[in-house]
Amino acid sequence: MSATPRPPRWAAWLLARALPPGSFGHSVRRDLEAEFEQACATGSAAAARRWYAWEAVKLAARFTWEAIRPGRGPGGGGGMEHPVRNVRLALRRLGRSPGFTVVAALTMALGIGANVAIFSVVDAVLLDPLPYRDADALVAVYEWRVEADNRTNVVNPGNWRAWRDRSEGFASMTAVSMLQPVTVRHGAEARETVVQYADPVFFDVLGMEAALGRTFVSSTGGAEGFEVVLADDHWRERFGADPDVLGRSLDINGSPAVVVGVLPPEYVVFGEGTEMWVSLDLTRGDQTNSGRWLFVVGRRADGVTFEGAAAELRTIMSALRDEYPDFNDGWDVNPVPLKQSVVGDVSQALWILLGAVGVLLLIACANVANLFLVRATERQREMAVRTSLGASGRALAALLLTESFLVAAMGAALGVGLAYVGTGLLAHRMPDAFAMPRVEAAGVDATVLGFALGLSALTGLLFGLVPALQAARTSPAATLNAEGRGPSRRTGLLRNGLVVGEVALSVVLLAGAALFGRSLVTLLNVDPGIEPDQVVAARVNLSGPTYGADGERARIFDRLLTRLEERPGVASAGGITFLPMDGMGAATGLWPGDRPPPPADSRTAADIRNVAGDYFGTMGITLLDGRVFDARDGADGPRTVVVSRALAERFWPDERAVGKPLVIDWVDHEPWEIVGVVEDVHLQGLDAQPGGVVYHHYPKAPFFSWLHIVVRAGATGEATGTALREELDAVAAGAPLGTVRSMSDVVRRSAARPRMTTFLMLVFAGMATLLAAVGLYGVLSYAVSQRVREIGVRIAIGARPRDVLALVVRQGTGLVAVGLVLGLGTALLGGGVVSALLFGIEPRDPLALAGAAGLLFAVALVACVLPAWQASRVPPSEALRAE
Amino acid sequence: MSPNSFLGEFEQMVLLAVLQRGDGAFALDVRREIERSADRSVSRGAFYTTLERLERKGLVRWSEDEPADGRRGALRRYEVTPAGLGALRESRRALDALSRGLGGLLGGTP
Repeated sequence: MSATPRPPRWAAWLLARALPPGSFGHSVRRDLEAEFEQACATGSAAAARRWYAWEAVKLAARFTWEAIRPGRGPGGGGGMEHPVRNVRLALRRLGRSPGFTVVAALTMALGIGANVAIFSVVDAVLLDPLPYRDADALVAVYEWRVEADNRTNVVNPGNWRAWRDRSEGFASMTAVSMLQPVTVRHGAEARETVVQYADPVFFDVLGMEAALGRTFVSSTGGAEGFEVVLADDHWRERFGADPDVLGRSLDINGSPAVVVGVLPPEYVVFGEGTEMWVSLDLTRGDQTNSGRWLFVVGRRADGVTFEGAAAELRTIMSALRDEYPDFNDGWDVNPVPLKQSVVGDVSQALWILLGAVGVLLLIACANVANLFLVRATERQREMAVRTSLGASGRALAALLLTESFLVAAMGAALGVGLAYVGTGLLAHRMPDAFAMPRVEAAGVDATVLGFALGLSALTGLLFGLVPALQAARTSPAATLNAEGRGPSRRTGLLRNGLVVGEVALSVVLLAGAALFGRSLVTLLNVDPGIEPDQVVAARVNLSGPTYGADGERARIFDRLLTRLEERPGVASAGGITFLPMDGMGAATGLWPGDRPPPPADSRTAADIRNVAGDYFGTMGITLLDGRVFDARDGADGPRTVVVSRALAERFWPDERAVGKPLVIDWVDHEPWEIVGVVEDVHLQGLDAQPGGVVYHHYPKAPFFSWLHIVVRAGATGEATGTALREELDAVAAGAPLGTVRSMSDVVRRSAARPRMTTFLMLVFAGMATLLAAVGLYGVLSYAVSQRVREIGVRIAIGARPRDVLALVVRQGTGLVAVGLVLGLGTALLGGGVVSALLFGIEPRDPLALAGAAGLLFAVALVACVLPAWQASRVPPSEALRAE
Repeated sequence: MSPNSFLGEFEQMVLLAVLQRGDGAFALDVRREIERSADRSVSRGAFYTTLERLERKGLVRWSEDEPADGRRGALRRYEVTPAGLGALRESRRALDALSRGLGGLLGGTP
């Protein structure tokens, strides 16, 4: 007779634990064994074992329930569903597997941290209303130069006054000038200061109060001079945050002024970089004596819609075209909600970044869900036992969900910390790099914390739900009988699906990053038309009566440039009224002097620059035809100009422009003679097509009181700055010198925003790829560990390590290939979203897409090879002993 | 047992089944008796927990045979105690009293 069959040992063990101690428990087990023996006698032993196991589980469950059900068994009370108990239990379970918990929480911290960081910027820049009373009623009003389609042109004072006085849709409408550099003397110290001249009610219309003192009440302030309000950082930097600054006398370009207030450290619309606001009666200018140089803000009257107010303005502007055809033909009005006008061009980049971190979060969730699934598989037994002990599927799901919420909460806490550091770096250390309005306001506040909290709950649900549902469906008998043969087919499919999804999403992010990267490289490879290396620039403003008439100013600049060029190490020096790629400039209409003047609304506009010394040589601007300015073109010399290639080709496509007359709508309509043509320079930034430029010689046309002095020298920027300071003191003692910058920095800064977007996309895509690789590695190494026996057998019957390697790698690359196809498809379909942010490349750029796919495949291959290598080194003996 | 505590339906069935099997009924047989008479399956969990409860209340008692050779242990034989019989009678009386006159509804002749 064969050995008596025995019931499964674990089931007997389970029963022994679950039944009440003492002889009653013994008797129940003996009864069950007796029935088991009968079953063995009448049927197959295997069936009897299954039967016994199932019965044992049910009995154990019943007696456990009896023991713990409230008010019944000894010490009863509190089932698994109790939330506090759940949290305690979940914490204990997480504590028992610290490796799992740390990896899962860190993964979530990356995902949530990146989201919170970008969200805090989005919140500050896009969502937070402007820090003004009832900010939604504020409207920015621009002029719209129809022919050039420049919709955000600054405004003429006369037009502004007409809008303000004739409009009923606006309760008030105020104006502030463009940023002006002026010389501000405070005691003995003179300094270049950026000011804006403001309508006295400017801050009242915005609804901004002074933090110290008051804002403006009058435009001139009478005997004491112009009223001045300081920006917070200027007050701190220049006046040491002195509260007694109120009433302090200043001298602005030779006119007396008095400080009446300090603004709070909040964003002032149109005032980025402004150090002080000067109250001025802006209404003296009109359509006949003044150009366009104002920013206009209106506050809609109660009950008037934006559309209604806008329509009314267009009607008024139509009348103004009839009244001042020479000045207003070809111009319209363009009202824009103030918030949109402030954040308009950055919102798209920010939304795309927010989308990117959202995708990153999905990948992190997929990874953590995968970790939970592995863990759930490993602990299926425990779950089955818990079920048998009376835990319902729902209770188990609740327990698992509690665990995932805890992991998400830990991740969120860590993530908020990361985001706090991250936004600190982004917004405060590098506001220039971000090049966004209001970015200083970014930070972790209540809204952002709420976002993080919601996000962690959502992610907890996202990655906890799948394993929890899995647990709720678990049939203990099936699990316990499977005796740990690994995951079900369904779980395997699910985990593979998650990895495929991760790979696909990573490809999308990588493709986005590659597109931005290629676009940035294209942008940086644009020939700016100048050679910025080794050139430093600093503005010198000789304003005020000290420097006398225009001729005197030109002579001082001339002496300064000559002295600079005589210094050892200085190759050349020159000056220009507005630096290329520095944001500001002057422009006007013009036409060839040998043709009849075109009507006002169809005149070509060109930038006007006044240059001195060896400007073209210093900046490395190529002379294409004719000559540049020299001693012949002095104050008493002929009226000569140099023009850019674009301008020459526009007016004289088939002829030499040199020698032709040009009429410029500035001061007078006498023709100027073109003596030279130079190569185009990107004045408005690398991404803007260079337009026509007319260069005047400063001594002949000293329209402005300042010049940006540019010096090409072998020395460091600092040494050159010192040289500039010394020579300026020698020719005009005490004259203020603006910030000394390297021309390379000026060029680089003009590409700051695409650089930042690209940098962040690269970081996010890198994180995503890493997470996807970790996920792939996890799935494969788990699969290998489950197949150790099979692999051992393969090796034992002669498979070479190389075959095993190939086996595992094939499994992994299969998943990657599916993910790649899905991801590339998504990138191709969704490329249009980013097209507006790309420069010089198509959103379906094959190189970028192929690069993204190639990089991901390479990383994924590494993630495959590691577990495959481990598998190929399985010793057959150990593998066969494994179970 | 205290007079104000009635037996549950399943407790009555277990006690009656023990009586039906005669003195010294095996638990296995008692359970099968219930399944046969009541024509329904009885989970071991419910059965044994009820049996344990009846034992704790002193309504049944048990004895064990000497283990036979080759056996891992003897099986318990159960019998109903006088208190158990009393409780059954009490329940029966209450049920009869409550059912009086309801023969038409309940389809019996108590």
